[in-house]
Amino acid sequence: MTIERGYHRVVENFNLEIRKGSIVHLEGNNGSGKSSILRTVSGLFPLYEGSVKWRGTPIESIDSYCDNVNYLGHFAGLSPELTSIENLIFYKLLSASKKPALEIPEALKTCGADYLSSKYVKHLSAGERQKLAVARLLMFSCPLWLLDEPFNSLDSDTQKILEEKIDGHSLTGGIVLMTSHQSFKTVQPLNSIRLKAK
Amino acid sequence: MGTFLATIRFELRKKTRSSGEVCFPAIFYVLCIIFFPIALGSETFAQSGVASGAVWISAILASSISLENIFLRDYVDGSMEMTVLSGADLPTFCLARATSYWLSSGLIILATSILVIAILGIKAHEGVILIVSLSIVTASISLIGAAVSALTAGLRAGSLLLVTLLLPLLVPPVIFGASATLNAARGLDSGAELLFLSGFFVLTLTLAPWATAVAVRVRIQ
Repeated sequence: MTIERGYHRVVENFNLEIRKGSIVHLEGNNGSGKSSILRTVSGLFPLYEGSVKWRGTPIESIDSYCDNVNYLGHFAGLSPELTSIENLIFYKLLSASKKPALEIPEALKTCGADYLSSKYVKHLSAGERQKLAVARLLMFSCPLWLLDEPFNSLDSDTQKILEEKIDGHSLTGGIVLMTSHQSFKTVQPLNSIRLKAK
Repeated sequence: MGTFLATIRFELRKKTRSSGEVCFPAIFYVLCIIFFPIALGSETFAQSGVASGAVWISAILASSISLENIFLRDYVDGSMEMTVLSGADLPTFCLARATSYWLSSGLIILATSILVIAILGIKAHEGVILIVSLSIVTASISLIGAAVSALTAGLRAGSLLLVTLLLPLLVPPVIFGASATLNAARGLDSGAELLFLSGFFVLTLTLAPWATAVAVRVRIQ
């Protein structure tokens, strides 16, 4: 794939095949196109050249491709005027076509965020918002996880939980494509790819 | 249907928690009307047609002024991309957003209009036509406005661009809405104008949600 952002090539001739059960870690300096790759694979960004294929079919021609994707991005995507639990309930209602995994209270508990459930998101810290984003990740059972800096502002306990979840996802045949500037550990083999800044 | 109702439910919940967002359009509306007699002189204002024209202009401005709120926050806090990735039907979601905007702004402006009509002494029949045509036009504004709001969310001077893009599109409904009211004031039939307004509304209803969905997808790229 080749990705252009504002007439500037961020990623050129990038080629990658990911098999089920693998964890792929994209490394590289700021601006090397890691996030752009994740967003393109999620279907949010258009491609300049090339294609993204899911099980051999280009993603544009799959109607419900979104149902395969669990994306965690730079912004948590939570409404400040709603409480944590309301945000998650609303997202669950929107994502009715995704296969559910954990129930909302369970997901919150897993991330150690159950104390946040009735708090307004506008009163939460960056780390607490990230915890909610992780909880939302655990609510659905999607084969493809796209994690863009998932450990950002997370405390070490929650980071450990997320590491375990990444391992577990890979063990059950899921794919994890992620970026992280923080160091992290997985039991499953980690495939690291270093991108050169352009 | 699930997406539609859930979006409206949570959107209205958000609005009720920021009371300013609901009250300010109505306050702006009343202030705007007050400026007309001040600027025109109370004798000119009392002439037939001027008062209802003032109501028209003020209502259009008041319902356009907070349109950027439909999608601005979604863009800023990242909800917009999460919605696209949720797998929900985007046109339905966008229609629900426009509907909840109308419920929280258009409906308030209509309620205020009833009060304003009574205070200005507009005749009952003219007042009814005014309210009916205003309700169709504010609904159309919410639908078109949602599309423009999605397109301009997060742009520098986005709100100015929004109004600049939107107001030319509102010329036909304002022409027909105002002439429906004038006809009523002169005791003429305003059926044709109301039919045109309904047609305009149906047109926006069939096009705007899809246009908004495309605008949302373009905006997050």
